[in-house]
Amino acid sequence: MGMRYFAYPHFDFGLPGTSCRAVHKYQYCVLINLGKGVRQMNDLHELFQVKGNILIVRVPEELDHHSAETIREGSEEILETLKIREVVFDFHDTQFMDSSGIGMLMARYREMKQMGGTIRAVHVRKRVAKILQLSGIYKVIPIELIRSWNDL
Amino acid sequence: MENTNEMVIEFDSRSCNEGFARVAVAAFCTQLNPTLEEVADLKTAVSEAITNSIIHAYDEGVHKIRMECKIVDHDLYVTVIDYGKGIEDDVHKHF
Repeated sequence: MGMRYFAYPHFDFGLPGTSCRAVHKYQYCVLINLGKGVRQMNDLHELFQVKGNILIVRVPEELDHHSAETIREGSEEILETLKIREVVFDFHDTQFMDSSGIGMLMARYREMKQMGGTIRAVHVRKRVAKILQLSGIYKVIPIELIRSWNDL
Repeated sequence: MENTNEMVIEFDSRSCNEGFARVAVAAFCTQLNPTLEEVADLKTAVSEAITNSIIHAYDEGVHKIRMECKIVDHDLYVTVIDYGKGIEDDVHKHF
């Protein structure tokens, strides 16, 4: 019978950097080139700011295990090399937090307490305040709610 | 069973997928018309379960985490499954 040649139909969406072809009777493979690659959270200019002996941490929109790790690593490095008396966590951008965020705050609290320093949380939105309240951490760490008209 | 809908996603046990899982379950539950508060609670609960699996399931390497979502009428069931080392059953220790 000889060789069988398979012709895979190609589809053109008209989008640069994409292609689509059938790989099987019921299966298509769409290839999309998405430019910048895996997002790295290592732009520390955005996360950390040091003013005198105060470290300000701009907590990202979501504080979960993944971003808490990044904050932990970065702040550890800063606390080891610079003389910091207070760490201020600015929650202005934060819309989501889970228990990983609580763990991260408690670890920083213990660290700073050992060094004779303090930490506090500022510009906290309603949703994040709920989690801080549920965990009881507000008893230990000063929390300042965000002050704005429409959104608490 | 008319008012049912299911979906399953499976992804690498990487912490960068925690956010993805939250958004996926939030998107799936919108058909139930939840309040903002309910979506936030759902995302928190799912985040906790997914994070547990990602941190504790596998000691070495990257493996799969599975999230199954099932809607039955007004209820959403979310099941998080991993194929890792499991949790020790220490019920017996208390007796």
